[in-house]
Amino acid sequence: MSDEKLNSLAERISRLKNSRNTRRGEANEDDTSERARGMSMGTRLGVELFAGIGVGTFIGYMIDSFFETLPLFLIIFLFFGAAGGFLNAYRAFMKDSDNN
Amino acid sequence: MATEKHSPLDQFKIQSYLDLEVAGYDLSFTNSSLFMLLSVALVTLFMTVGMSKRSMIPGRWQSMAEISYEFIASMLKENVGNEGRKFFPFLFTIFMFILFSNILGLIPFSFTATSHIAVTFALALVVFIMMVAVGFIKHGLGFLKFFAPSGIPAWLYPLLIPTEIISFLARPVSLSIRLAAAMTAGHILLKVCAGFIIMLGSAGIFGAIAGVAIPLPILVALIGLELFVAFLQAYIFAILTSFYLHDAIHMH
Repeated sequence: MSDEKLNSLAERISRLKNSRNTRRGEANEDDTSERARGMSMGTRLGVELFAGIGVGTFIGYMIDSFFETLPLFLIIFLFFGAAGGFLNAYRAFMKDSDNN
Repeated sequence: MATEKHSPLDQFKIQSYLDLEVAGYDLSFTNSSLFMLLSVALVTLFMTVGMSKRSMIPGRWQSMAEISYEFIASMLKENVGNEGRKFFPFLFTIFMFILFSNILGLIPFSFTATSHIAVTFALALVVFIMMVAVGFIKHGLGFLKFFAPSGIPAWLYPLLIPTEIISFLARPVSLSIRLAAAMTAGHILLKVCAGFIIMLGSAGIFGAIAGVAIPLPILVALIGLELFVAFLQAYIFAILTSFYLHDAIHMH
């Protein structure tokens, strides 16, 4: 008896939730805020890539100017920096898609 | 063309109000410092005046202060967990400071302190040092394992450890660049769009009509967008700080 009641309640809740979701989907306001969030995500990933490469190059340059081996570590750390940037961008993206 | 050249970048110029030099460092009181002080004063005023009544049924100011408290408190609870409580004052200060600096910068003739990388990088550096300190205090030297993910073949370590270290060091850089870039870009956009109105307005009656008809509504919409961005950037800074705190406390 109580199970039946619970089931019907769950059904009603899910129906209400669905109807609210569709109403939210139709609203235009949410669309623009969704777009703004997408844009901010895009710039975030771009900045993340850029920061990784920048930091890698900077470290490479510093090591080079210390050991006076100019292009060597600059080139090596450029690639490490790019990899680090991609790693950060990947993590940021995965975290974001987890939350949604 | 206007006779007086006015660049959209003029708004970011630092002006010194009070020259001061200590031990070779330029410590002048500038418009940037003025607006930083102003935002600190406004946050303090907002919180103390808002909470001065401490009534059970909050009024407008009190509920705004309570909402901002709840916002950061729930962010910390969700992303860091119960250990995050200790960091509430830290995160709340950073969030409110950035939020008020961003919003203050939207007032005409004001200065956006957060549009300068010097300011945002200092903030990001505080977060970074905090994160490293918490990591080492909590885990000791075990925090260094953060850079060596487990479960990978040993020959990959020479490749992965530098990558992890660089991705760790890139955090404060990306944190500061994002905030400064978003604020700078938005304010340049506003200035350029406002410049269109002046230019069209000086081009006869049809130009004036076109100036009011086209760029003015865009400008209104842009100000709304900028207000949203001002909040969003403060939010992103705060939530990334809480992610980083989570990493430092729980090691991934």
